[in-house]
Amino acid sequence: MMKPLLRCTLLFFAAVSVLLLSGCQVHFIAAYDPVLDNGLTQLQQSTEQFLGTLDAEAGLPEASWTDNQSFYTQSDATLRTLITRAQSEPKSAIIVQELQLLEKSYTDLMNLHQTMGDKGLSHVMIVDSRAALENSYKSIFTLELALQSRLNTAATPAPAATAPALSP
Amino acid sequence: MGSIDISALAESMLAAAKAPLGNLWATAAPFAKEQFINIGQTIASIGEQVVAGQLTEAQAALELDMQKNAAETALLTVKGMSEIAAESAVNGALGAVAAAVNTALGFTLISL
Repeated sequence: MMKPLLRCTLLFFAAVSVLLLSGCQVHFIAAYDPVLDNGLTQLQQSTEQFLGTLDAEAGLPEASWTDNQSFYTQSDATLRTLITRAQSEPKSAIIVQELQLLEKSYTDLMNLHQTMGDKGLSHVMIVDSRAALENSYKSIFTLELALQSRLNTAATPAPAATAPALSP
Repeated sequence: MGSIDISALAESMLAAAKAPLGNLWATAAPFAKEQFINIGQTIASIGEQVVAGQLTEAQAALELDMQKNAAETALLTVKGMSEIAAESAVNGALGAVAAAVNTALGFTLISL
């Protein structure tokens, strides 16, 4: 089996070769996408509002599964749209997987709501579900922020090189 | 039923995540630890609710799945951040010699 140091060295030189051939920066992961970031921010905001309203209406007919199905239809449509957008971006496998996991969590929340029927979600169910969704969003936004920082760093003019000129 | 030790739960998750992350562990540990503690607290709460009869086992399974999705998302973020770090290292190394190479050649071979 190849030693880690040798593997890293080969990977580095492979990356350097690609860079020299293309004459630009190397990218191992997709670029920051502000549309995706905004779409997720809006979805989280509408979800927080939805859960807050459900919590306030716990036990009332307004909190029933029947009266709230449209939220799940809308959030699923939003997530599917964002997933399709992310899939069209090169090297976006990690982001796509994160969005697919978020979609699974929304499906779990929908199924949980459905099991409660007319009673709607209980307070503790809302607290637990909100915690899971917020943790997922936090992870996704942490990565988005890192991608955004990379963008800002790349846009900043590089300082003058301090290395001596190579002899011709 | 005994109470669930949240710290032990989070430590177990951290230990399981440590090996696959290898050298990236030091960078990833603070973010992963915070996320796993949050997730561990919710898992403990789910268990208590089942015991108290506030959740059925089927409902608990759905809530647990949401926690698993959150944990997996945290690890994916760590992986993504490590890729950005590797990318930055390569670009930084090339950036350090770009001016010298371009000057020596008389044209821009490396444009960063």
